[in-house]
Amino acid sequence: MRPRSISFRIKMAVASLALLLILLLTSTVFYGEYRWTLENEVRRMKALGEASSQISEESLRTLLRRSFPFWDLHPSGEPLELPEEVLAVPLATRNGTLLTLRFHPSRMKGEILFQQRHVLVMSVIGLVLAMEVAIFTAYTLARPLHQLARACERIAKRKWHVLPLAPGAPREILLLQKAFNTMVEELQHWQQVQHQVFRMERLAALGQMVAGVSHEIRNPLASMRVHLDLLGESASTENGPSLKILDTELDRLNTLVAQLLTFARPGESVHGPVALEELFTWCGNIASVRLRKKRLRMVRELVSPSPRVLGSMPQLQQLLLNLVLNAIQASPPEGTITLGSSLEEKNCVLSVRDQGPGVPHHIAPRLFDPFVSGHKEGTGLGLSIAARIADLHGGSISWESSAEGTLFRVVLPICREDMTSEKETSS
Amino acid sequence: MRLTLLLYQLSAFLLYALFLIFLAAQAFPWTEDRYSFYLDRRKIGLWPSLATFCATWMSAASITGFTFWLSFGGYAAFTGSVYGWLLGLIFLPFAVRKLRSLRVLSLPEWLSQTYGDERLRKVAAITLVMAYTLYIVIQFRAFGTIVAHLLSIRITLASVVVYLFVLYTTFGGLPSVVRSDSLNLAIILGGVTLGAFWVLGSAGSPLHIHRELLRSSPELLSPFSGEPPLYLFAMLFTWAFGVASNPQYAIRIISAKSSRTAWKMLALAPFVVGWIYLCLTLFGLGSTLLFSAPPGVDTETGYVMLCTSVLPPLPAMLMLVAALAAAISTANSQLLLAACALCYDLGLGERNIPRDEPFREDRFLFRNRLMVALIATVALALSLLPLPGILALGRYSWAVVTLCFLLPLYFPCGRGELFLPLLGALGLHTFLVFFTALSPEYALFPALALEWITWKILARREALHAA
Repeated sequence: MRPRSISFRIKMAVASLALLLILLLTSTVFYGEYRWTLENEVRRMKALGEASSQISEESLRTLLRRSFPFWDLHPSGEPLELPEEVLAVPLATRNGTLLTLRFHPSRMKGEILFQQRHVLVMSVIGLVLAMEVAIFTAYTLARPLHQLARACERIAKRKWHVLPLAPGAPREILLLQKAFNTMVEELQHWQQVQHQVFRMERLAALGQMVAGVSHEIRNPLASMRVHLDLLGESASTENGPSLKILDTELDRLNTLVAQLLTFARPGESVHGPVALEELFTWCGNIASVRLRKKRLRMVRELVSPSPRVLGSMPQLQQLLLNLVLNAIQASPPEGTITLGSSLEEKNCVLSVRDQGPGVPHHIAPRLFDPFVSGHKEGTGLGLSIAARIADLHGGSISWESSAEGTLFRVVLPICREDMTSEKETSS
Repeated sequence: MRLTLLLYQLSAFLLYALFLIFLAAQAFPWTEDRYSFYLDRRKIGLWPSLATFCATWMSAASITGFTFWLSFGGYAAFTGSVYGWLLGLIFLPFAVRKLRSLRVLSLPEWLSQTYGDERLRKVAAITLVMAYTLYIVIQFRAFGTIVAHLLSIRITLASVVVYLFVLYTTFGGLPSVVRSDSLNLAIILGGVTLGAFWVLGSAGSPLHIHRELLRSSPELLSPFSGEPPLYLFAMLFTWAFGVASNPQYAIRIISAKSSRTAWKMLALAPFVVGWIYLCLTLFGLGSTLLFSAPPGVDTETGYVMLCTSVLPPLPAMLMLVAALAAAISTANSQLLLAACALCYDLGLGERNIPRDEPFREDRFLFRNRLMVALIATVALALSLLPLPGILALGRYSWAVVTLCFLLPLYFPCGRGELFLPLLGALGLHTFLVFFTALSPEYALFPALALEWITWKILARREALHAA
């Protein structure tokens, strides 16, 4: 059997209670009125009985018609078959006529009902109101529960959202909503952690595989390079173009393998103070050819005095170069790339901003994963290497993107000596 | 006898109230959005559409006003009321395609989308809120008078009862209104049919009634008795244009399951409303032979006297409950539209909520319900005030609705600037009614002419400019 809903139970409970109360109240009012009228009638009739011997039959009949509407007059000899509750009072008139007065309770009840019709009317209105209140109460209480069920269904479909707290809702419902919202936040946090762990495991496995494969490929590639150079010396002029293509492709393969190895094993990191100005100058020089090719402008916005970060110079060069190359690829011709640095508490923030179309939505959640790229020609390793280097330095990398461009921010720990000197200067 | 009558009336009221409450409660949804609240997701089938269309058509003013007018004014009631209403119905099929082609939730939104001007939406929405609030006052008054008689209570208390009823049936949105309208139409049909048959039994066949009227009061058989013919014609066309451009009917066309359903609804509606008018006519004319109301009595009281004097308790009670049903069905429909105009068209609520944001929708609909309560409270307060001109304001509201929607719906003058002509027409109508004391029916025609001419001129100028 399908269980009854809470809404149905509330409606039934309130409606039954209202009906019961109304019946109780109206019956109390009517019974009280009935008792009072009956006693009054009996008292009046007794008084009439005592006085009847001084009243003529005609006057008595007129009096009864006017003032005793619930009584009927019968000749005394007439046989009366009366139920027990019906009163019959014998009367003797001045003329000596013997009469019997018969009381009609139903007539009296009808009159009482009519006289007290406002009680009936108010009972009906009260009942209608009670029904409306019952339905609204049931709806108001059950609706948040339905909302909660709906929210749970949405969360099962991984559509995170919190329930808005209704200001007028009952405390229990608010508690439930708050508990639900806390649960959603915790679940979200847990999912993020899980996602990170999963990513790290995946990257570790990938790194191992990539390192093995790259190592195996590098040796044959070196051999191929030697033999190609030897062939180049003796080859005829008509084979020149083919050899040129082979040469370019071999270079590409070497670069790819080098990148893969950097991703898998970023190399020995000898950490020391690295001057950002020096890093930016180096990067500008390296990227200058590509910048010129696309007619791009590179702007530096460095905090003064330029801080030093604690890290490995070659790795940080690789990090910054990857970000800059990525920005060059994304920027439209004649655009501007802005390199910046700033200080945030104990960290230094490097930033690279381009004026490209922004990160495509479909790769946004996996931007730092290896082999994920928004460009057809890209290997998808540049940003993952940058993220890995930032991780190895105890820093982090983040990005913001819009239709006006993309900003990458790398947070790196500032060199301790610089921090001390800064404190001294400020003190 | 008195007690029997009272018990009958009380039982009728209680039964009606309980049925209404249970029916409307069925429509309270657990999940809802504005699309379901205003339009019931555009999935209303033929019979519910027909029921809500006809129940909304028959307002308390129609039932009580027309019947009472017939009983003392004769066939002039046809000229001044029924002909106009039925004439308006002829226009509606021409609006079906236009209204349904855009996925809109309200008629002001349709106006702004069709003519590309957001200001039109605002003006139309403000007009609707004002017009319907005034019209709801009339429904409250009619209901109050009848319930006061039914339950032997004061009109003030009776008006509060209607307020609760209307509020309750509107809180569930259009689904709730449609359900309660089905019950209301059944009651209206049952009540007027029984009333008419009873009167025919007492007063004789329709032919006999006609002959008797010809003999006793031949002036009642004239189509222009009591009022000047020009005024009756003005009334006729005001009703006709009002019906044709009334958002109450437009929204029922939009919310029908399909265009086919809407057309079928409009094709069947004349039979249903025709039957109701026929029964009311037989009842009204027949009752003139059986009873004559004392002079100076108002429409609602006159109707109550007519029913209780001519009919035995059971049919009389049904006729009275039919008027209640008519009042509720019109008031809740108008209340919903007025709330929609306030929240959705005038932007008191968030307009653009994404589909997967049910909680923002809930907040929006909560605001709608607050507006429903606010408008109903204002109407209740107005209905309790001794405002003698309130009925004339009802006619004024009908006319301004015509000015907003008639021309754009049926006689568009191109895509040109409509805002200024509309504003000018509304201004002229208001000026004529309130400053020259012209009746709203007469004032409608110059205002409509001004709107049409200025719109035509502006549209032509725009076309020339574009060329």
